[in-house]
Amino acid sequence: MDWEEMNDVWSELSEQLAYQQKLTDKIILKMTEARFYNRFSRIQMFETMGAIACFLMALVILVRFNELDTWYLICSGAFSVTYLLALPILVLRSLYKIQHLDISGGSYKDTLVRFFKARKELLLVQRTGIFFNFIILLISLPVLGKIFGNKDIMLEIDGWIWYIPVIIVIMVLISRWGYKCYKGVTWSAEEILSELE
Amino acid sequence: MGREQEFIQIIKANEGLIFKVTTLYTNNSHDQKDLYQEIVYQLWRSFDSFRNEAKRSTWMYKVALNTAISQLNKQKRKPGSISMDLMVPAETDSPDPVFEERLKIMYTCIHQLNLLERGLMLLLLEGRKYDEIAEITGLTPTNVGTRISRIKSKLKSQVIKI
Repeated sequence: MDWEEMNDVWSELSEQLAYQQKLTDKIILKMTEARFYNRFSRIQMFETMGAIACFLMALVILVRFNELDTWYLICSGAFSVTYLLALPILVLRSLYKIQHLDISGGSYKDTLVRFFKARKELLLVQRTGIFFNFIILLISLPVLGKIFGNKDIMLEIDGWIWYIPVIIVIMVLISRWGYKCYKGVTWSAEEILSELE
Repeated sequence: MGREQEFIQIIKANEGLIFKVTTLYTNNSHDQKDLYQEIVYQLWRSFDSFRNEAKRSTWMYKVALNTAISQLNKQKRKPGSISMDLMVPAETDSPDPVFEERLKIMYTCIHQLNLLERGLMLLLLEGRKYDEIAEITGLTPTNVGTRISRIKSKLKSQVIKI
């Protein structure tokens, strides 16, 4: 095969491809949709991992619930389990809603309205989650102390008090980073939608 | 005609072009489909700028080649690609085994080239003039000529080896 022959093969290939129109209008729009979904896939992966961790922790607390022997430990345990089960479900649900926005169905205006509604919900859940994370931090600490260290930290608070500011600082940093990621991703998804105008 | 409809028609009319770029820049059908999807998306993103400036083919080649190169540099697959089994032409659907064999040899030769050379080769095979190739690639027409001569000699030696 020399250069001329290569040219012939290419021309024949081009001729064959000219008769192979396989893309439909719907498929082309679907490609844009796929890019939209991709914006959220990384966040979804982290959230799914986080949800699994929360569920496992809730399971551990439930399995060892009988070790919580005072009224405040029982209340803290019950609240912690409820929170650890409810928040991940709410987050994944709001993420699912925004990720599965039907871009190709309905008008551009409808899509944008649905997107902004879903984004508002997603960011609200995030903000609520951040707020409750600080409360759960304080509430779950006695439960975790009892389950993992067999100590009632309410009675020996001095040994534990130093953990709280350290964990708060870490949580502030993680929460800020996480919320910034969410905002970034939703802005970028909005940009994709505006390109569909 | 609406903007969306105009874009869809352009893509449909140039499926072959996108297919050829994806074939030259990927080694398996999975990556090919992903690149195909990314090129269509990037074309959509830059659709406005094309309407005011360049010739349609120049714009398409430029976006397709740039996307192919940047996608290769990322070296990782994006999750969440949609199934495109029916979107990308499966090989050439050619019933001719001799042609398939020749095509395979040609692809093997082209895949030996580096990224820029592959792009130049594609544009040359597509019958583009040096000036247009220069505009698409950002090289000077003289540089394009020199590089193409080198590619031809390189390919000749490769074809002999094969």
